[in-house]
Amino acid sequence: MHQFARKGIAVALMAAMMSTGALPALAGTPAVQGPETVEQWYEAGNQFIRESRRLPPNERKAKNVILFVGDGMGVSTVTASRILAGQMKGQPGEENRLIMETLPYVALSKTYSWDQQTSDSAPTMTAMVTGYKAREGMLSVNHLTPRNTCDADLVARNSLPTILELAAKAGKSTGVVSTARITHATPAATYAHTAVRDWEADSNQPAGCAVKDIARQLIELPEDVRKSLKVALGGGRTYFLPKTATEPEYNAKGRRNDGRDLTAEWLATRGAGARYVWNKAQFDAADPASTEYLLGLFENSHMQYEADRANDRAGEPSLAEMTEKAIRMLQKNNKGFFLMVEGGRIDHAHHAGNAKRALIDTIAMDEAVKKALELTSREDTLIIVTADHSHTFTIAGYPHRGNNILGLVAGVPENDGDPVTLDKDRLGLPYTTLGYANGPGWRDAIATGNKRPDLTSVDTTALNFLQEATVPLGSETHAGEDVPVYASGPMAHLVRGSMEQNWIFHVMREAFDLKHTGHKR
Amino acid sequence: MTNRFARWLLVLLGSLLAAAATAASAQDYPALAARYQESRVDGHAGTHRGEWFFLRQTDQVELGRGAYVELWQRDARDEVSWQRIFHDERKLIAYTPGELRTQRRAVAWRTLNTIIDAGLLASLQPMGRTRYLGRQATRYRGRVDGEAIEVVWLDTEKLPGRVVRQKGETRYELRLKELRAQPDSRWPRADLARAADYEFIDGADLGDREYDPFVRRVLAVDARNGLTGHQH
Repeated sequence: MHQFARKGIAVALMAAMMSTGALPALAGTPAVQGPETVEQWYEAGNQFIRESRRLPPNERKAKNVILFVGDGMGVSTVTASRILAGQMKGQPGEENRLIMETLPYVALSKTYSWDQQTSDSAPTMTAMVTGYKAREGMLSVNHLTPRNTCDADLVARNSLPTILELAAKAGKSTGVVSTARITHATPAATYAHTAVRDWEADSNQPAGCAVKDIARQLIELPEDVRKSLKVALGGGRTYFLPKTATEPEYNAKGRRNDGRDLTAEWLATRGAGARYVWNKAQFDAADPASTEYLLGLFENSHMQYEADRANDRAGEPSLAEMTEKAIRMLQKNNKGFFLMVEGGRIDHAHHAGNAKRALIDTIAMDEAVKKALELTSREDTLIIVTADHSHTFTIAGYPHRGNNILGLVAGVPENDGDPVTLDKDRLGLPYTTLGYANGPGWRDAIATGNKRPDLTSVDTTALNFLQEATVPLGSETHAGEDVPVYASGPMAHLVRGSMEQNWIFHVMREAFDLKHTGHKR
Repeated sequence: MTNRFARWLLVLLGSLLAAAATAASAQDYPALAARYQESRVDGHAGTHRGEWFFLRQTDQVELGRGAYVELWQRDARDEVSWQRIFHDERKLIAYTPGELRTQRRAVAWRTLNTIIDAGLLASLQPMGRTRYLGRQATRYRGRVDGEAIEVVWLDTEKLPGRVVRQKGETRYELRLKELRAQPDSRWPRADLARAADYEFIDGADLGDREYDPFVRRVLAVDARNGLTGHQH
């Protein structure tokens, strides 16, 4: 029931009871209370206006650009993460602000691609780093590219220059950081060009395919990009190793058919100052001052979810730690840098219908944003925080202020002084605030005699709890609504209103004052 | 592609899939290979019969039916991982321990090794000793959630010899047909050496690969089987 409708009924009931002399308890202390005073609400609004009036557009040329991408981080994910982060600090949570939310400029990004209403990460990241919307599953090639093409000349002709490549041509240093495989769609779109995002190693390709696999593209970058790409940190170790080799953490075989050890080639082609690391101790030992090129591959596939990171066998750095290391390395170039940082596992946790892990990974990415803001100046560094697409993740019901965001919905009591009780659906069963429109969280409750499961005695805040889903699917899907874009620094004011996702590239290019005109064909 | 293992595991283990990602205590299970036959009689859906294979070795369990094999492995840290090998399609889907927890697909190590969880067995009434395939066994009987269950339990091998579950018009029966120290060479195996040339898919990536017809089929089967281990 809509809250206003519910209150309307309450008023009507009250009037009816008053007419018969049966008055409910109206004078009790509200069971739910926010910490604010009446005055604070208004003063906070005034403060916002004062700060907004003092916010001059920064028209400077950006020395540095950092693009943060929360994979699958839709608006509802940001909101729920904000509340969870606040509640983890002992606050009600709703009033909390993530660091990314403190950036002064915000827009909504339309994430459809050339051929998808709801997109995957390949064309969406392509849009952000090239300025062009593209096709499903394709990385930094235009939409004229045929599916599954192994024609290397055609791919070269249709390749779209990325902001990373343009920054390299301008003499800047560049870097790519992700908690997913470094060859996964989002990071790969910054440096690779291919019609198939899954061609991460040559063993993923058809025999004889002339298009280089993504891991190989990272190692065999064009000369100017190879010189500029100082740091690549993420997962995906086995994609760089031959099948004849065994990696050190799990004794697993590599995935390369060509017999090449691309980690060794990284060292061989990047000079004496190059390092390759695969665990936390080695990562910590890599001194940014003396390390010229750093490749870190901390898992065979994706890195651990942040919630599981402490249990990793060999130890993994956090996204914030990788971001710090990358920035300290890139800052050695007086001409500046471009850095892409991806919170890559938000998306995977959502696909699993596991909201808590998704939110914890979002908070981990926010820590990385905080670190980036600490290490750079808003005077010369444009920071953009956005997502490639959303998920079918919702925040529902009328939970009271401070209700556990991972818990069951308990509304504001009808009468002040009444205790908080769980809200029930039409079947008389409680439900969680967080849920998904589809995915593996759908439960078959028929055997229990219910149409829905009874969650009354279930710990819905547990790390492994899967939120309920309306439509039973093996994997929860992406969603097609807009995603947020937050920005600070030079030209950040160009991030405004409703934006096509590919315009994010144009903001970065404008901030860098790069003379790329596009229209390669 | 078939994925009936998940289905029978779900049927057989019932709520046990809800167990958290727990590796077992250091309890040992004798290495062995078993061939089972199962039948499901449903008043509406008719009768289904099938055969599957079970292989228990140190720190790993294989479950095979036809060209589809599941391989569960436990590492030195008691972390359990899962690989699904589709020999006909030349594909391998791998789930790390963290991904199994995230997707609530983790199964207790003891349950994987014994097919039936000790908790379920403890909820049944011992009905006396018997012999099955020439081995010492104990008969159990009881009702769980309105379902009549009978189990013939091989005490030394720690495996069911026979399981019958009946509820309404649905009757499921599992029979151990053959027990060996080593699997027959014709039995389906994970065969990771052969699978090294298969396409590798991280279980975390399935949601991002729905454009792949194979992945779509796997996800559809998983959804139909309710493979994820919910509390409900």
